[in-house]
Amino acid sequence: MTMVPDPDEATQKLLRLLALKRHELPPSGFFGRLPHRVLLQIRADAGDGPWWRRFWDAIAREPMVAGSYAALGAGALVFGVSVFQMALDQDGPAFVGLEGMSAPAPEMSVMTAPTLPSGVIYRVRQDDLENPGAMGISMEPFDSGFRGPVHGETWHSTRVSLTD
Amino acid sequence: MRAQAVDIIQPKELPRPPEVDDAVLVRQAQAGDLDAYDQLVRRYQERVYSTIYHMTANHEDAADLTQETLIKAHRALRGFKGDCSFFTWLYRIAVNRTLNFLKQRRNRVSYLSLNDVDFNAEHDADLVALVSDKTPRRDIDLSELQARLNVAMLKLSEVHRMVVVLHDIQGLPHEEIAAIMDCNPGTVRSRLFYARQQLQAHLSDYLK
Repeated sequence: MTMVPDPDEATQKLLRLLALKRHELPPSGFFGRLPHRVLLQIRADAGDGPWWRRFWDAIAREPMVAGSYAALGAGALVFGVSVFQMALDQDGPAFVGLEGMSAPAPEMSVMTAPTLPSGVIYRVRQDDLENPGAMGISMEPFDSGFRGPVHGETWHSTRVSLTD
Repeated sequence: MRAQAVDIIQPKELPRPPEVDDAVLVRQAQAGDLDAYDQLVRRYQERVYSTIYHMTANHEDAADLTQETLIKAHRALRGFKGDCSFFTWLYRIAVNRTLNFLKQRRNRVSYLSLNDVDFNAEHDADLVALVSDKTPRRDIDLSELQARLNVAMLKLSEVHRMVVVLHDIQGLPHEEIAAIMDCNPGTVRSRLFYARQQLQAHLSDYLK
């Protein structure tokens, strides 16, 4: 004779078994990160806030994108340094003004001209290129591949030497 | 003096009714206060996630669906009139989103991606009794039991599984489930009865 299980007892056992599901927990820190991600997405959808905040939110929301930007920036930096190094190797000592950095100001070139060593590749403004005697130096055109404008003015590469 | 008065009105040992707080937070969130919505998210994220996770048996899917649910709820928040509690309204969004997802998932192969069982499970007297009857290697068989349980759950239809999740795992009353699933409490009871029978059949090895 087979024992028929009591339906209530079987249900109680099943409920005890189902209790195991309550012990299944997501990875540690998941519930700390989720609200942040939700709010980032809501802000992004709304498109409010200044551009830098939206940019920062986008980076925070997508760590892979942030990594890509960082890699891109690092690559650009390495490329820039390589180009700079190649220019040094080719032409000896050189001063290379970079766009975005403070280019030699007009008064600075006049002040520093007498102390410039010979053979320096320098960038000068169009006016100075046409009238080098005023700076106490002589200049010969030198094409380093650089083309202005910088700070709204056209600058040229030139080889500088002191005049006696 | 002011602090004392506040303490008398709202003693710390007496929890405030969550519905009242929810209503205030909802009004603030409807007015565009993201901090208020953040509090609502923190309050209900675990329950929403758990419901979806127990339905999908996949952590990654559950994480995505929970995030979608909370974002969708924020978009729809202005249309929330307060006819039911925020909790019921939010659950309704989560349940509908999950059921739609599961319908789409029927057409592709789904994988279990189960969360780890927490340390306390090994000290749960009921679970220990269930597992230790089968084998002395309790740690291994807890995982095995977890997998068997989830597979058995996935064999139920979505609506039957949802009733089991909401009632037997989450502990919601029949009336609340009926409001969430937009059916009457009698339907909830009959679905629950049928689902339990199915589960007992699938898990008979552990229920003898």
